[in-house]
Amino acid sequence: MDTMELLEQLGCVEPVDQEVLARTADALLELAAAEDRRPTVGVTAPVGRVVRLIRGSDPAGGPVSPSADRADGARHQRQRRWVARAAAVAVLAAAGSGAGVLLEPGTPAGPGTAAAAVLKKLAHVAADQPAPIVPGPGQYLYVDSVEAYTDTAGTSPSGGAGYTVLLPENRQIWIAANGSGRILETFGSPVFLSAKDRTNWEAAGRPPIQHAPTDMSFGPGGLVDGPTNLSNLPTNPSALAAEISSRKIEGGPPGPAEDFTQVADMLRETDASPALRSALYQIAAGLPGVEALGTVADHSGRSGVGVAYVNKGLRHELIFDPKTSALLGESYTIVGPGSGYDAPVGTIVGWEVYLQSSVVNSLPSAPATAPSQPVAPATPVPSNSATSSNSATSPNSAISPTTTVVP
Amino acid sequence: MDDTDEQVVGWSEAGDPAAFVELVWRHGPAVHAYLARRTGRQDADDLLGEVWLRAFKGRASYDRRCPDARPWLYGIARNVLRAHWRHASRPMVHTLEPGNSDAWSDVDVRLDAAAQRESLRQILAALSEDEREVLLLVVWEELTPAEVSVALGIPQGTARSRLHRALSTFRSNAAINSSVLIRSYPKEV
Repeated sequence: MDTMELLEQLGCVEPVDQEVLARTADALLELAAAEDRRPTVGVTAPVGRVVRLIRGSDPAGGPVSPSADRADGARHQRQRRWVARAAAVAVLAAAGSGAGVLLEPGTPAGPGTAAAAVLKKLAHVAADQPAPIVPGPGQYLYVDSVEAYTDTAGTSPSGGAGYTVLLPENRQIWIAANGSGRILETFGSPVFLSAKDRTNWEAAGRPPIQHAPTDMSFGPGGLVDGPTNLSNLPTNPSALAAEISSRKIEGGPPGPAEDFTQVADMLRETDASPALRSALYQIAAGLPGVEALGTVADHSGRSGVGVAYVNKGLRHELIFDPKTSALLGESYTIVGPGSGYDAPVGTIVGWEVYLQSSVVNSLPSAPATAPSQPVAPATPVPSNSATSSNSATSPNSAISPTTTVVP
Repeated sequence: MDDTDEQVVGWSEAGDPAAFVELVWRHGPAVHAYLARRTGRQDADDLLGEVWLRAFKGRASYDRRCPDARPWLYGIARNVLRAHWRHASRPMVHTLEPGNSDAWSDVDVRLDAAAQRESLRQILAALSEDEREVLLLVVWEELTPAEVSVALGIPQGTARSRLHRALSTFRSNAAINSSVLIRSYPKEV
């Protein structure tokens, strides 16, 4: 048994007692009854529901039969989840909002014409690109990127609220055809998302949050984790859109927001063929709600054409090289409530720029010392909302405050 | 076909609060297992009520576009656990604690697993808290990266990159420890 299987086995726990569940259900029913006595307006559930609830609160004949066998329980879960998703997709398809439908010409619910035009042009450019070179024996695919993602520290043992920083990172990866390779990561100075995060960190006793560089080597198969094998996907836009919208490629709640996310996930992969990339741009062109940003700069200062999609209070921007259609960079910015971040509108909560992708003949002999680009953000978000600065450095840490300008 | 979680929450918000209790029967076992894996069965029994209380009170925050309530519930359970750990000792993955003697049905697995616990604990301890959480949500709770992003309130790109990093670190650390694993598993070699 390998370590991953062992970890799975250790996830086995005894199922909850029906009595514990019943107690919880009773407590909620009591709360619900208290709430129900207040005047309410609205739709009520079908009568059959109440009957089920009453039966459900009887531990002897309860509807939940937890399995003593973990594998059996897992099977149940998967089945149920599949059913729930299939139902949701069916509803979506009935409403005529599946991505496949949207690709039909003249669909009124299409995206803004500006964004569609940008993406359709990128689709043409992508189709004309030469196929990417794949590493031969002894060679490596090398990708150099700079990114920053949020890192939330939990509560300290002494109490106090958590805090979130934006942690910049330079990541270099070498992947051989057999899945072996190496990852070098160096980290920049964490930037607090908001003044409140800084206060919480100070209250927690200023624990160190600077990350040390990492250098990891992997044997054959060690780096094969990754998204779907893109070479197996259809390159016909309608067929690919159908696979995306039916969640055959990966999970997630159905809808254009998730479709947009999945398109971005596949564009991030450097081994996507020109035909596949072209299909992905065409699909994005058909998604309702995609905005055109015009000419914008990524975080390393390179200019490109941008599109964006707003979901749950976050704007996800993608920036492309208009000449090659390559994805230059992306970013996430808080634009409204529901983002899950306790930070002002305009705060950037993640960005990534893809600097270089090539096939090389060897691994670096010594650990790389410096990232190829500064890891601090070079350019603020293109569209007007926020600026991050990390000018003032606190004497006893490598952390800088963030200055957020709210429009 | 059963109503979706999203419909159930909808009814509970639209004048039929008791409808919410249906979710306890659907997902109570999964939420309890989540807690038990991380803090032990006894504490899980005690904390389960608090998770559901918060879920009921915060049901307006449920994202109705998500048909499955489990990612949302795990996110609440995580907050309850953090509050719990604030008053207890340091966070610990309970099923990996030395001397833990949960009585599973499969004795062989239990004995084998006990021998491996310490090295697994070290491998997991090398991950950051966020990476560990993402990894365990995927391996133990069987969430997809999209669902992990709902549970943790992070963008999906972040969930994916964290998962990738966690898996890479986990695998490479496991490789370092593999001699130990192989020695204690003669029948597997």
